[in-house]
Amino acid sequence: MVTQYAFFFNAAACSGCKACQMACKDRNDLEPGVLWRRVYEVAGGGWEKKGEVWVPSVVAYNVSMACNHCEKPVCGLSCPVKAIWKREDGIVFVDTASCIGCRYCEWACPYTALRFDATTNTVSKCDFCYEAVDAGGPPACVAACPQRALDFGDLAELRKKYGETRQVFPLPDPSQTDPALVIKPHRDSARAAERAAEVANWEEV
Amino acid sequence: MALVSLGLFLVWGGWAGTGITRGIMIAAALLGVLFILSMSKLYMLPTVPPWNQAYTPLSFFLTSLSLGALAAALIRGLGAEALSRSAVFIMLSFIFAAAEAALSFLAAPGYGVFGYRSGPSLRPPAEAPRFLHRTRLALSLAAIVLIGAALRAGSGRSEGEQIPAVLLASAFAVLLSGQFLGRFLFYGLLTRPGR
Repeated sequence: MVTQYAFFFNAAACSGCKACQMACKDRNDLEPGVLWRRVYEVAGGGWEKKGEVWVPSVVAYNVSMACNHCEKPVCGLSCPVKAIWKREDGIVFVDTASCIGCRYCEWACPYTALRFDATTNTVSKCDFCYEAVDAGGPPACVAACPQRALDFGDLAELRKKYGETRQVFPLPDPSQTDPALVIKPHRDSARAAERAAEVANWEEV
Repeated sequence: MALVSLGLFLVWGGWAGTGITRGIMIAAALLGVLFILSMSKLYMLPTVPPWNQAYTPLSFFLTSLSLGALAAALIRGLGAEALSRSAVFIMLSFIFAAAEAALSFLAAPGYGVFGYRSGPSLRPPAEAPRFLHRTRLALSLAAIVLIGAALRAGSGRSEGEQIPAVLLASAFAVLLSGQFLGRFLFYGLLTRPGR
């Protein structure tokens, strides 16, 4: 039995095509501007001198991120009306009927997973495509990835399969929320901070 | 928040009626202090590092106390109260305003000399332009000069005379403008992604 569903993301394989983002949007019929999964383009660096030679030191990779269905979901802990709750299998839900639209959970979530929909005055977020998962299928984002850079499953199983890494630049400190996330880092990510990398597509996420 | 401190100062200054009226004012002022504390705690989320630091409650209290003391001085001055009693509030507002300006110069997150600098984050960078911080400091300094001028104007007068209300009112308006800018900068530290 699954005790904590989780996502795996392979940053080394992601091409930044955003098929996951669009599949999520399409399946959940999200309003324009509301994204439950986003692809961040991380870029930085330039040129550096090695001896007498200038060599490129460019950092460029993508990070696909949705709700991480954290083991310590700070969004739920901060919700004043307890509209955010966690199912037995670890999936975190927003009860939009109870949500009062105060947006405090938006402040609390360091992964910016909660998204405000002005048309309904409520927040919403990734629900792990629970209906598909309950029926034995994959979430839409996982199914749509042409590079197979996304996977899902029980957190313990994913850790056995892919390792323990759950943080890569520019993700926040994972000890804040214990995200149910496993990452295979891109080779550039270790040098991203020292090369002043930054998200290059804020207007898209 | 400034109204809370105003109530506190009026109670302290013995200008809050007598009997049950005074009791209600004291209770309201104490609840107001709890209100400021709880408001600052609301922002101190561990997942929002720019807000989760001592600067947040300190700035909330110093904003309230400096404006509250100045408002109390202004009200007492207009009421032709004794000069010495009004001067206490002006002196307090001078001290609190100076402390607030020094705190924001040194430790304002994102802007101050020793303040927090943003690290890796999935939130877009702060949007407020840096010149607003300098404008805010300039307004605070101008207010401190005006409060100082009010103190100086009062020093040459005898008991029972008033300190010019225009000086105090100007200082209050300038200080309030600076604090509004400070709030704007504070809230601008957390930007929401998306539309």
